[in-house]
Amino acid sequence: MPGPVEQLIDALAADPAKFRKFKSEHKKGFAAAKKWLRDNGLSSPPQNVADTLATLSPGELSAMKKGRDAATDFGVSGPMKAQMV
Amino acid sequence: MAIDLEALDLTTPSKRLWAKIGLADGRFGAAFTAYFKHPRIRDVHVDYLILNHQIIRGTVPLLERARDEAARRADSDAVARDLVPYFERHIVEELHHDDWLLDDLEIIGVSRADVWARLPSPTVAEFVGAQNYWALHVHPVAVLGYLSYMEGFPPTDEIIGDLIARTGYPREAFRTMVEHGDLDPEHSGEIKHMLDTLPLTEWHEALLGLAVISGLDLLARTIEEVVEQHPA
Repeated sequence: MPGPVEQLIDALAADPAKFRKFKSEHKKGFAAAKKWLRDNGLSSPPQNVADTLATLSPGELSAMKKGRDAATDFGVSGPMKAQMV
Repeated sequence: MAIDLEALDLTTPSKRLWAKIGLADGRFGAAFTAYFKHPRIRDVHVDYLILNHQIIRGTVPLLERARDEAARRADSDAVARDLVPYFERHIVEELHHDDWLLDDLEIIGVSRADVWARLPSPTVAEFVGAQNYWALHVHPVAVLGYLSYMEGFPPTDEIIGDLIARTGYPREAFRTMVEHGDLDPEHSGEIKHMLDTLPLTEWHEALLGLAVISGLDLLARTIEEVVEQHPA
């Protein structure tokens, strides 16, 4: 079950007009964005998450959603990360 | 999706990029963890190293092409111009890392010929190919996005120690991981410095974000494919 932030990403990615409106409300401040999200039945994330989402382009948001939709669920917990290049 | 809420800070381009990485690296984290915690890690680790060789052997050629493309644009593009000396330095820093992996694999019984004979998956080609597309056909600054996450999660002593214990392979076979654990934090700092000193516009930052978000997804898919070859 996706968490509230994931649900918000899904909702905004699914509706470009909503995402544009979110970004324009966010320009007025976090309080305005939060109110708009609530008025539209969407969960309100912490401010730093909302601020990050507002920096995304529609393409970035869409790429984020696509990656999450296609992810394999290995049922692992306590994610760790390491990479080499 | 794993979101590190405390890490988010948006005051500089590098912090904004890392905030995006924080929102997008959940699949990568889950895939790496599935490899790392795999009950048959001794077998999975071999394929994981071969995968990394398939990816890493494309890095220096990518940097060389990005340098050439940046130099080509330098007269009319300040970001490209400032990237040229960075790429020059970083090419030298990344040289032969793919050979380290071949050495590691040889120690655990996989010959160089066997590694080169293994055909990469289309996902690997898609991942490495996408980095070349962003760099050559959009803007070479995109390479900084690729390097951000590729160098941004250095293998820790804890991870390496655990892998040595659970695989039963000798420490000498983990040279590439150990070296990257040492080198990557410094390289990662250089990338952040570049991001914060280049005259980036909103367009450049959107490109970096797009390259990073889609790249992390492809990287995760390559690791998922390795794990899926080894049912637990």
